[in-house]
Parts: sequence; structure tokens; C-alpha cells
Amino acid sequence: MNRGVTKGEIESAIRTAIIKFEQEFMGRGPEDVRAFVVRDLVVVRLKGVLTPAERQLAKTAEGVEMVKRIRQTLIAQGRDQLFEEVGKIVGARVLAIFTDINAQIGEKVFVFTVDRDLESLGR
Amino acid sequence: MENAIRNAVIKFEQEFMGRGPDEVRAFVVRDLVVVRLKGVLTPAERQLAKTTEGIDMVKRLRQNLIAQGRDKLCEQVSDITGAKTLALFTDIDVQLSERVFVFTLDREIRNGSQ
Repeated sequence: MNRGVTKGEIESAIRTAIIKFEQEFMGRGPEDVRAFVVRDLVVVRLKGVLTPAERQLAKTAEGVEMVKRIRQTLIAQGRDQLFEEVGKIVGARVLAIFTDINAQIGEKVFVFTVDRDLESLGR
Repeated sequence: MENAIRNAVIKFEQEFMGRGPDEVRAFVVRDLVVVRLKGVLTPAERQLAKTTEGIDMVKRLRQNLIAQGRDKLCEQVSDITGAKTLALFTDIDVQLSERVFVFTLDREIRNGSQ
């Protein structure tokens, strides 16, 4: 249970977990990560997620599509791990993970939906 | 403001994507607008989504469709929030028939209307 854990503490722990995930699993630590808890959602915004080679590739429309596809396929492999880690931090069951990447600006977003309202925690 | 965004997204889904979602909720958080939609798939798409191959097809189709309506949606969110929309992120969970939009804005929004 996460009784007494504040929203800020959850957001900070999520941020750390995502940085670790990106570093260890995706192979590159993002430049900037911010996490927000909103009701039954956890929203994470990552900046600077692409490698120099991917940034180069993303200069054409075809390259953008390629980067997007490979990232989607990669994330599919790490999905279960993310479900588990985020679930543990927030103390709720993660129902789904939504993610999208903008290869042109090198930004990525995760949205986790969980089975209850997290904003009532610790308040 | 969240209500106005909600209505704009419902209208967009109805008019552009061809189907109104069952449920839409919108949240403004700092410089982000997060919209969660439930029940976005048509009966035919739900049928298709019963196989792995079908899931991939529906996902690809929806991604390509949104690419066409992207500018329109960003413009509407800009009009409502009064901030410039920098990017639109979206993903769909075909099995759950849920979709999420995240708009990033050029500044933080004070959500005064709610």
C-alpha cells in the first residue's frame, strides 16, 4: 500500500524509474523527464530520447517512420517490465500503457492508466 | 476549458474519424493537455482486433488517419487554450478500444474555468 505517499513522491519515483528504463533497456538516457499524476493517469514526458544516428535518420519522412517503428517494436519488449515497475510505485494495477514518439523533435510521451484515482493518496 | 477540449475531441472523432467515442475525459496539467477516450473502435474494427495481425492493422490504419487530421486538432486545442500547440502524441490500445491524446503547449495553462 502507498498510504502516506505524496503525489510529488510518486512523480519523482516514476521519473527515476523511467530514466533507468530508458538507460538500461532502450540504451540511452533521455535529457529531460517529467512525470505527472492526474487522477487515474500517470503522464510522463521525455525530451532528447533519440541517439545521434536516429536524429540523422529522422531528417527524411521515411526515416521518421523507421525510427517510430523500431521504437514501437522495442517498447513492446519492455512493456511488462514497465507495467510492473509503475504498478509497484503507485500501488495500483496498471491497466494500459500508451506511448508515442515525435522523431522530429526527439520527444516521447508515456501515459499509464491505473485502476484507481491516485490523487486521493496521502491527502 | 477541459470541457471545451472534451467537446472538440468528441466532435473531431465524430466528424473526422467517423465514430463518436463512448467516453472522453480531458485534463490540463501544466503545459500538457491529456485526453483519454474510451470506445473508439467501430464494431468492424473490434472484430478485426481479435487476431494479432488485425490489431496491428487497426493500429496502423488509425495512425495514418490521425496524421491527416493532426493540424486541425492542434489548431482547435490552440484556440481553446490560447497557447501554441507544439506537438501531438497519440496511441491506441486496440484490445481495450481506448485512445490517448497528449498535446504539448508552449506555456503552462492556468485552468481557471474548473
